[in-house]
Amino acid sequence: MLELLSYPFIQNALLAGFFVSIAVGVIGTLVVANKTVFVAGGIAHSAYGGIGMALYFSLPFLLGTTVFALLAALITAFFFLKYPHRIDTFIGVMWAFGMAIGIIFVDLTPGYNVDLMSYLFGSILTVPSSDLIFMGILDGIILLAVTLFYPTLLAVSYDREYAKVRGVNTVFYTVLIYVLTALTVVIAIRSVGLILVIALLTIPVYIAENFSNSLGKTMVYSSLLSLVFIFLGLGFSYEYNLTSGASIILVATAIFMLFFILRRMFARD
Amino acid sequence: MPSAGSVSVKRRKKIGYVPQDTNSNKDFPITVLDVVLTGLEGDRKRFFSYSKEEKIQAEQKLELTGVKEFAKKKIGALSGGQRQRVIIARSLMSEPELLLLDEPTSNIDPNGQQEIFELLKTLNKDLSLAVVSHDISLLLGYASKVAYINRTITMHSVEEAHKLSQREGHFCEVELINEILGKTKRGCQC
Repeated sequence: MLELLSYPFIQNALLAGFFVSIAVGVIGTLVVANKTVFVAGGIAHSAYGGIGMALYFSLPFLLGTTVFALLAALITAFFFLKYPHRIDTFIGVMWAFGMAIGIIFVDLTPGYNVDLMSYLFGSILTVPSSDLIFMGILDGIILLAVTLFYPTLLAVSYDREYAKVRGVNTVFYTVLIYVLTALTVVIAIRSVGLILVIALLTIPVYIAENFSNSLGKTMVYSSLLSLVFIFLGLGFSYEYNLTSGASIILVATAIFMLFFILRRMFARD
Repeated sequence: MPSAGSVSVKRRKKIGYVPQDTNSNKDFPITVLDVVLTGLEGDRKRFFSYSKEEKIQAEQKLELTGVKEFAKKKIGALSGGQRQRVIIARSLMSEPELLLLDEPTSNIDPNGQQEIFELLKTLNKDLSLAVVSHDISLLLGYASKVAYINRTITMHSVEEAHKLSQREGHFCEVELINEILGKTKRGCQC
């Protein structure tokens, strides 16, 4: 299996996996802490509209997705701040709308015959080098934003009401978290696909939370766990000739279930 | 009894606040010290991390509220009473002159309740406290004034209430509430 590493597409896949791990570990921690997993799901599926539009207008794939995902994040943030009690309904609408727009644009694209499934379930083995650079830049933006605003992000995530009472600009930090979630979705879309990205945002964090006493440590452990999931999944998919994205998620969910059962067996409470 | 007037509030940051529900978000990966440090937010912008001085300040507040030994522990590992002390320490980070507490003992066992009020009594030496509570009997041992609020506000001194309990020779909460409500009946109802 070692001779595999000499193939450029395998090298690209591993590098993509590395970039994805950083983003999903750091932002997944914020998403889970703020209980906005459903928001992330909405943004991810809305991003499909961007994929369709990028194809139709022959725009660069990642650029179209980024713009659409950011737009979805801002609209979701608006609804959350304006109608916090109805946010699940609005996300449901956006979720379906984004997907529908994407499918319609793909329908309208003349002579389009690329495998649609690769955007839904990812294709980490075909990530081009140009995408890797873009993913690296987005990772840089995410890491910079999170480390820079770490104390306030922590305060808002832990007790939003209290932060607001203390005069923290919670609107800014809500929008920031949503925007960073959108960037993470874009990073992960190529490798695990927009349907499966939710698994990588949540499963590593759920496990990592148990071993860490701070948000920062949870981020680091989650990133490392994601990396393990992705590499194991890739090996699995190579060995049995299966779809890479689905294999990664299957590995993650299998470990999640094992962890859940072990925790139930050995937990004191 | 005043029928009109105005309330003037000093600069916003001099008021500390202890919210009611401190049991939410128990699984959150955060240490007790970090919870207290979040009390600094809003006063001024800070980036990357808290300073050494701020961490020392947070430890001092934890010492004041009697939970310094748990500083490095995860917040979820603490009992309800201990967590309440952490939340009070957090409210002290902004060095308030007036501390507002909303049902500070609602989720705590009777022993813990007494301890929280003992702590508040100590804090009261240096700052003013306003406590919202349904537990009138407990409040009476510690409060200096009682305000009954039901659309209108009625002020009572605690001495009135104590006189009442002396008259009957025992403490009766039903009568006390009636007294505070302003519809005292003859004798004890309980």
